[in-house]
Amino acid sequence: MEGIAGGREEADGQTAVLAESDVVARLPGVRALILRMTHDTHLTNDLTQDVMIAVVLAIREGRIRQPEALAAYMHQSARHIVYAANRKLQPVTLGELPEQEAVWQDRQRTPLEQCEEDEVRRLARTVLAELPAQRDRDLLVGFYVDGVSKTELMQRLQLSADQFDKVIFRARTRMRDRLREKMQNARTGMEGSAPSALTSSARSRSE
Amino acid sequence: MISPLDNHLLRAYLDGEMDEATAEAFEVLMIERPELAELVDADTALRMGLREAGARPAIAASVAPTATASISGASTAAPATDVPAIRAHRSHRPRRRLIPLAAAASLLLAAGVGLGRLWLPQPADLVSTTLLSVDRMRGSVTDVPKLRLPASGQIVLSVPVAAKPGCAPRVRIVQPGTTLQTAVTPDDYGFANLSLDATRLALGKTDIAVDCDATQLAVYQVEFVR
Repeated sequence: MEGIAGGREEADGQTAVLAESDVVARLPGVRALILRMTHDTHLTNDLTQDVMIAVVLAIREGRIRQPEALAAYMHQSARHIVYAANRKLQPVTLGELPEQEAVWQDRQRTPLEQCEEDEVRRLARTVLAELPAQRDRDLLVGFYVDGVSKTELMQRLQLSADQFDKVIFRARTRMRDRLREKMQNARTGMEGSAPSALTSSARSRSE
Repeated sequence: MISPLDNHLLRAYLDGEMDEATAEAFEVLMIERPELAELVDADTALRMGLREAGARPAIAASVAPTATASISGASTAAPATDVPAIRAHRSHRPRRRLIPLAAAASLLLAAGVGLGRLWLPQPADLVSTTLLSVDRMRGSVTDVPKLRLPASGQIVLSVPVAAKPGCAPRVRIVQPGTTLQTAVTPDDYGFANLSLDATRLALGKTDIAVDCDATQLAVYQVEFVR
C-alpha cells in the first residue's frame, strides 16, 4: 500500500494537492448520506467503498486536483453510485482496481459503523426510555416509527414547533452521545476482538 | 463545533424541509464536516433502531387519533380530543353559507373560461406544468411520499425506471377503479417522464408500477394530496 501514504507526492509532482487520506477523512459524511438514502447498512458499506475507489481513481488520473472540489465530487459520486445501485445497473468493470484494501481497513470507523445492529436497537430504546415525559416518547415513536408528519404530531400532542424541535434535538444528541460512548468502550475494551457486523460485511466484499 | 446555524440547517435537512438544491449543498457541507455527519447518523440510527426494536406496539396507540385523550401525562391544558372537535365545528358552519355563492362563482368561471377559449385564436406559446417526481431515495423508506397534485392543468410525472436490456418498460398508474398505462423510454438518468392532465388522477394513495414484459420491476407507492 505504498500508494496511500505517498499519494500526495506521487500522483503528480507539480500540481497534485490531494491525497487518499483526504478522501478517507470525508468518508463518514459520504457514509451518512448513503445510509440515509438506502437505509441498508450492508449496502451502505459496499457503496461507500465504491465511492472511495471511484474518487481515489479520479485523483490518481488527475481528474480532480483541488481540495475544495473534493467534497462536491464525492457527493456527486455517491449519488450516482446509489442511483446506479438502485437501478441495478451493471457495475463498471475496471482493468485494475486501485490498491484500496488497506485504506479501507485502516480508516477510522464512524461511531454508528462500530455498532452491531442489535446494539443500535438497544441504544435507540435507551434513548427513548430516557426521555422524561410520556409525551416526548409518544412524539419520538410517532415521528420515527409511525412516520407521522411534524405538523400532525404537533397538533395531536398540542406542541409548538419549538417544543417539537427541542425533543427531537435532545433525542438525536443523546443518540449521538450513546454511539460515541459505545465506540469509546469498544476501543478501550476490545482491541482486536470480534469485528462488527458491518466490518465483516466489508471484508467479505473485498475478498 | 455545531453552531446554531448548523443546528437549524441540520433540522431542516433531517425533517425534509429543504428543497433539492439546498439539501445537496448541505450534503456537501456534511461531507466536509464529520461532526454533522455524526448527527445525521444519530438520526438515521434512531429511526432504524426504533423501528427494528418494535417500539410501535407499546406506544403507537397513544399517538393514534382515536386515543389522543390517553396522552394524559403531558402537561397540556386541554385534552387532545378537543382539537378535532373544534376544527369540525368551525369548518362546517361557513361552508353551508358559501355553497350557493361558490356554485354561482363556478358557473360564472366556467362560462368565462368557455368564452375565453372561443375568443382565443391560438393556444399560448408556453404552458405551465407541474413536475411531480417519484423519488424514494430521500427520507424514510417506509413513509409514503406525498405529491402535491394541482387541481387542474398539465403535470409531468417523473418515474425511476430500472434499466433492463432487451425489454420495453411500461409504467402503470393504478388507482381505485382506474389504471393508466403507457410504454416508456427512460432518459439518461433512468427516469421516464409522463405528461398527463392533473384531472385524470384522483387524490389518495396510488401505486405506480414499472413492468418489463410480464415481469414487474418496481412498484412505488405515493399519495397525491392537494
